[in-house]
Amino acid sequence: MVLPPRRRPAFDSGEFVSALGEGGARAERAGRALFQCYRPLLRARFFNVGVAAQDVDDLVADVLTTIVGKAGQVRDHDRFDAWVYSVTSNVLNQHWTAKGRARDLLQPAPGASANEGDLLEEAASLLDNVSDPSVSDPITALCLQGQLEAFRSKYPHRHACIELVVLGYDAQEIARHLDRSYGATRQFISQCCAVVMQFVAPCLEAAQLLGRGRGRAAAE
Amino acid sequence: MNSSNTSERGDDRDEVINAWIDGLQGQDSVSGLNAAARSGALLRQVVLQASQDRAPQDAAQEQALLDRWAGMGLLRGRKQSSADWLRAVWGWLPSRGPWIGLSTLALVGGLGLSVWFSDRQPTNEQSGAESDVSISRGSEQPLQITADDPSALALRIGDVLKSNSIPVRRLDLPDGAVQLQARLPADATLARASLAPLGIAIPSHGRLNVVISRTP
Repeated sequence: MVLPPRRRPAFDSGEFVSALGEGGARAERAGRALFQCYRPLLRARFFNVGVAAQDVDDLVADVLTTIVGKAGQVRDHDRFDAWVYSVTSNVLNQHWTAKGRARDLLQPAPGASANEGDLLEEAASLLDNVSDPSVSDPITALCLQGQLEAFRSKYPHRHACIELVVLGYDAQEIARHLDRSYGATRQFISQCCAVVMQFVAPCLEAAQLLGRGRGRAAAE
Repeated sequence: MNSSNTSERGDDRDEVINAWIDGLQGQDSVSGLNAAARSGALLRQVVLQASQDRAPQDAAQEQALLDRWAGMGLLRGRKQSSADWLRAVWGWLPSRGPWIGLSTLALVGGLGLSVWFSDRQPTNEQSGAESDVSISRGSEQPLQITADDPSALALRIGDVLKSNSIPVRRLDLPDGAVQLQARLPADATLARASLAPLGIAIPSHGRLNVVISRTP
């Protein structure tokens, strides 16, 4: 299966504000661009601070609605991203207040593991003996999808982060939205990859065995 | 010796992480042999496939949000507010001479004061000149309809509005007449459709103001 290359969704804050001021179809297009560009970032941030999965989409909708409603007040378009960040923080604070829970209790511990490089190397070595390390084999593909779903439900914040990288957001931008340093964000990304590889490892091992079995049958 | 080993090891890890990220991002440069990059590329393929499977749900969510914004009037465009005009004048003034600037400011200030004073003149409604007459805001008069049993019809209209979560105000007038007031949001199409058979047409601004009198 050939998947189209994905690029980071395009978004121009100046164009967005002017389109909203004009209204009509142009405003609708601007709204779609806002949704497509900021939704993955906002989801990643909400998951990252421990918002329950069933609340995440509601909070994303609240933030985006506030942005659309108040975008006319933005004067400095270079600071649009920072403004989005502060709107998100306000929505989060309201959420925690409404939930009556202490925010600090829900902050996930920062990744302290120093051996993510080793974990990644170990995970990558799983591919060494797989003759066709792609998703072309339907059984392997099914297995991978199932394991990815399991990973997503167990570690939604890690999955959201991986999705951001796949969508083309750079580490700098992810760092800004996750409120981490650039280095910490890169480490976090690599930890996420190492963890997901532990989930998909059984599929790769099965594919490895399958490949060996086929090779033996062909030789006989 | 030890520290140089550690730093080399750190560099190696950095390379592995870089290769992973490159693979995840689908960089062209990873088509080679690097196992980490290949793993990243594989993961990319799986994640993209899963996100394509979820695309219809995401699109539905996007459309629902756009409908919500349209219902709230957020996509209708923004009219020029007085603050915008002030900003425009403020931006224009420094580029002109000081006398033109000052006289323009005086003119704008004078106009502002005159508008402010005219707003403070008591109107007929505020002065109570015709206090025994039911006055609706603005020049628009309430819609007048007749029914054999105004109270029953008012009840039915009220039920329609309440079932659509629209608050309604009911006033019992002399001679058994009933006045209903409500405000329908732009997206309350179901409520509008349900009110039409009862003889109630809602104007485009959404304000319902109707007096139901007994049929003579």
